[in-house]
Amino acid sequence: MNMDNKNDRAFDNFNLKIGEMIRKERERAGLSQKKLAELAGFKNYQTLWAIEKGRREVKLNELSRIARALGLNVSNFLKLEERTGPKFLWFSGREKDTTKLRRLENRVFQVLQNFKYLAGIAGISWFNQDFSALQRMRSSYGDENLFVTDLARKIRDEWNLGRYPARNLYDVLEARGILIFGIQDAVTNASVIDDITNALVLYKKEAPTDVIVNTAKALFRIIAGDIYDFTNRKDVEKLEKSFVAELLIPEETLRETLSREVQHYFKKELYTESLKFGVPESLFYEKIRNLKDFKHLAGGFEHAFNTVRDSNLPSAYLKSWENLKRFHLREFPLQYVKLAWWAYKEGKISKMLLAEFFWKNIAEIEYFLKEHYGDVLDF
Amino acid sequence: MRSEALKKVIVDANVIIKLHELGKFESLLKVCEIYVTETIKDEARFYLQDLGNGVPRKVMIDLDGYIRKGRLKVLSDPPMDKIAEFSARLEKKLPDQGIQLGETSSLIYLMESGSNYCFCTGDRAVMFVAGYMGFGDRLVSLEALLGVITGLEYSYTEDCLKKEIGRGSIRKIQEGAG
Repeated sequence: MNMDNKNDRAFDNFNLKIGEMIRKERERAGLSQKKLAELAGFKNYQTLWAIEKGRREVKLNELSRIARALGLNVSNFLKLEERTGPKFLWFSGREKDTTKLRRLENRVFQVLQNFKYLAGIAGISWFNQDFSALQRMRSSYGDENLFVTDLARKIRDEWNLGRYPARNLYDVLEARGILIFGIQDAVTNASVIDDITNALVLYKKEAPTDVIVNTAKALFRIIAGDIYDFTNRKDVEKLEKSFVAELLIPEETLRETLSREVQHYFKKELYTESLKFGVPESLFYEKIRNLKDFKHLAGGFEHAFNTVRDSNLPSAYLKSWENLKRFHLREFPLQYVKLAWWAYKEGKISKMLLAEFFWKNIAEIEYFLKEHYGDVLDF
Repeated sequence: MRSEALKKVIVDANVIIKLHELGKFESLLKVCEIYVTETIKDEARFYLQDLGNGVPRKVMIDLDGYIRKGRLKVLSDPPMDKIAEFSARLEKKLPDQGIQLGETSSLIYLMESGSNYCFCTGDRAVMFVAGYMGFGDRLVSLEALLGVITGLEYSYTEDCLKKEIGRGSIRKIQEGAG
């Protein structure tokens, strides 16, 4: 057999496979050939057409541009295996453009992949989440609502979330390797359930209290993602609410607050107390209303909230939330940024790879990291 | 001196960018025959000039101008199947070490061109990989090419290059791969 022919066939086969992968990824992202060609900087879409058909060899720099346009890394295409993405559970959806969502999914998927790789380099295994024990709890409960409330309690205790869980939530999630994305343009929220790494995608422009609630919701989806059908909103919404309310407003702390403040519930102090929980006032009020022994006072509490609503919030409170947003809600999760920077500084990854991990050019990557994450990285 | 024996040097994107930042790219062109791969050329399109006000200015690098004048030569990236094969091999041998495919293409040239080319990079990860793969002697530091330059980071020095290549070689020996 002629060796050249054999090599040519292997080469053609490779081109066919890589072309097929590009086509599948393009379709997954909901892009036409014309649109992807435009995003990847091709002069015309016929070149992309020929690449997808395996009739033209794709060059490395072209593949890099295609990958970047799809929100992926170039190395993804070289494995020649169809990728299986993690499970995305979208909620609070405001984004109607599915193409935009698919590209965002790709970017999140890619960060998760990179994160696993970086964690492997660093020898970190703390991001392994084992929720199976919590999930097994369910079988001993007859009442789903009771189950999710207890689930929230158990997590609060196990994770040492303290008396006011909202304050520690991000730190604890970070320590447990749950990646938090704060995406500005993706006006929607999601939880991402992966075999190894889990993630929350949050809409950065929301009020801090809403972001906290959505974080707790996303956490519930990650934990109970395999138990409940989150595509059917009605069924899980009530359970989700119970979980969030109990996680963020521990009944014990609330009771303590109320017994101390109940005589002056019409005063502004009660409202200030409610702020410590870091949740929207409607959720706080609802939680009180659900406490049987305080139910009769609920009207009074409502009056108290209505009286002080729109008054000036304590400045220290606002400042702390601003700090929280500044440190935690970033497009790239902080753990990811820290790990990537560490790997580069240690000579574990090249600068070009570091740049690729952030979809940046090699010339701008350091400026980018310094500008956006300079406060947490050692420049 | 090491640079006297050099003829063809493939330069990494970080070297091109660094030399433009320092205004020393012309000096390098005088010393040796400079090559870039297509991907490196794509990467080194611009650099950021720090104006001190926190807003860097984007300065374009006109590599095409040098190419037109024949002062810089472009090497086509190796075929993708070759890059994929090399990359898979690297991942298997060094799963805890990552370089991008653009750098992989330069290393393939080094591997396949006998002693025709040298590679100049300021990337520690690439130096380590070259040391591990057994062609550390084909890497050259920017310091060796141009002498001591003010403002040059440690990763471009001869000392750094030797250390990283040494680290790679030791790893290879420890694993019994050599």
